Amino acid sequence: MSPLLARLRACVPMVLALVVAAATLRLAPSGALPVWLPFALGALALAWPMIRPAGVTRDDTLPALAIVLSAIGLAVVARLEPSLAQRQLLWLAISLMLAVAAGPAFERFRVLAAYKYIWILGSIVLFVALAAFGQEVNGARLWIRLGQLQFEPVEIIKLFVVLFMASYLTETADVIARTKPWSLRANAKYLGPLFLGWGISMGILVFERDLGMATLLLGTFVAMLYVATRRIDLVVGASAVFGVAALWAATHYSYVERRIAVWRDPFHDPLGAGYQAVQSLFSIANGGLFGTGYGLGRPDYIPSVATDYVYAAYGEEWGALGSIVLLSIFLALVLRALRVANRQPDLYAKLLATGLAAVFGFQIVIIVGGVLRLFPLTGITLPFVSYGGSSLVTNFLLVALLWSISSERRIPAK
Amino acid sequence: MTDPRLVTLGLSCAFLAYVVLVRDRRGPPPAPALEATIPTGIELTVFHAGAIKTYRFGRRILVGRAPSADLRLDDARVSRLHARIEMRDDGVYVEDLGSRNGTTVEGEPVGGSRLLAVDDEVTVGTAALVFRGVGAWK
Repeated sequence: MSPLLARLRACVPMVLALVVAAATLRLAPSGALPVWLPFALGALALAWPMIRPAGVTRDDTLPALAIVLSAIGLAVVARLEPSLAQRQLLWLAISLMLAVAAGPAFERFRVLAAYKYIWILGSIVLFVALAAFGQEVNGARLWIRLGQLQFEPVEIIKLFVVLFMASYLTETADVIARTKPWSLRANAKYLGPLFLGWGISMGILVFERDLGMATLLLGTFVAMLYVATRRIDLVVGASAVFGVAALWAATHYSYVERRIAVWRDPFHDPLGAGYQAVQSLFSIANGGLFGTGYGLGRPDYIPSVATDYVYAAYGEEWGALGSIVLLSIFLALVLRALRVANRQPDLYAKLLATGLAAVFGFQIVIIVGGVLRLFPLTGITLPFVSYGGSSLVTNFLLVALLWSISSERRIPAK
Repeated sequence: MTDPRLVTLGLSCAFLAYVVLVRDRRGPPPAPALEATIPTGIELTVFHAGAIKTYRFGRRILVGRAPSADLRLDDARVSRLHARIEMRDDGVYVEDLGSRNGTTVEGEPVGGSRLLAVDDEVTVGTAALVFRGVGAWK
């Protein structure tokens, strides 16, 4: 196959994704989006899988899935708050430009393994910056403001944690796997730096009261540790430590305590603390099987609906049917990421891809489960769908990294 | 007129079906083209407890007293997981895993990791391991 044809063939998933995106965005109220911008974004999106080194195949459905998800998110946000949708479009443009630029840069992603302590240092610096200059919103300190720009450092931190874990475990996985669980000294020796690096981030997360991100980091940490070493005692131990920490937080932080009370009985105080949860339950119930129809529901009763509760808004207007389709797209994204991990020859690429898949998977489960009241709500974004610039940019970078990891060199036909 | 949402959902489902049914039919990963010439293992001659033996290992060897070590040395001066000898992109390295009595190469203690030349002698406890080179075997 000629190189040009191979390149064009790689664009097939993206073209299909753009058709879905166009159909979705036709729903959005006219005037909410400038006419030329979707075309520019479409061109950027097409350029994304096109720009790649010759002679390799990559998993081109990953960028396509990201585009479909962000189009759905854009349609939902445009219906809730047109002004937010315009900013989201701007963020989408920035994310796409970064993803296109990151393609060649991530091509040599294996050099990232050499800088493992830079990543952990970077996340500690971000945490300290957060503690020093952070803005408090709803009892959690999550934002840093730089002039007009606001960003959420935790989004970058999750990438840093995955990068650190992957390179550390590449070097020590064989030793950790062969250490007996009861050998305390050996475990402390080999797992020490891991728990130190991760414990610092964990402690500061609890200190900054962002339990959602703490749970996400723990899930990612445990998943990567298990995949690398197959030691179930580490999974049990880490979960137990987290359970104790969560219990401690629940009794010492009124903010966490309130969240748990709302989770157990939102109708106890339906106009006060439970208002948000109750409205979201009404929204989802109102949606039923087929939904109320785009623009016909009233998800605007839910406070902060465009970020934490975007799934409830989507569920009301698109119904259970639409929600199942959305969750299937998320499932496809996570499965593709795990498939990338499975096909890589070296441990570092495997662990990196697994970590990125775990980040997406746990994030979706935590926020969707929180909205559906399976467990207490912890405010994190639904990847690609929620309104939020830092989240969108980071998630696109994660997908760009996964897409680079999926490179397989084609063997020339004899 | 049909509900536009159903059009979107239908298209999304078609896209998903394409991803699952068409893109996943690519088959198993291609075999490395140059497999035969890539060294697959490390050869070591072990002098320990009055015996001399030569072994062919894989690309990564854990040396220690633990039953799970690849090269098991029954010696009180050897830590459970004592050292690691592994093939990297630019050669074979020996790395001390924080052992109590340390690891030496040609009499010099190893801090961190060190590149091995052919016929270098690595000392672990009372055992001597001579690096004989790399080869391609299964």
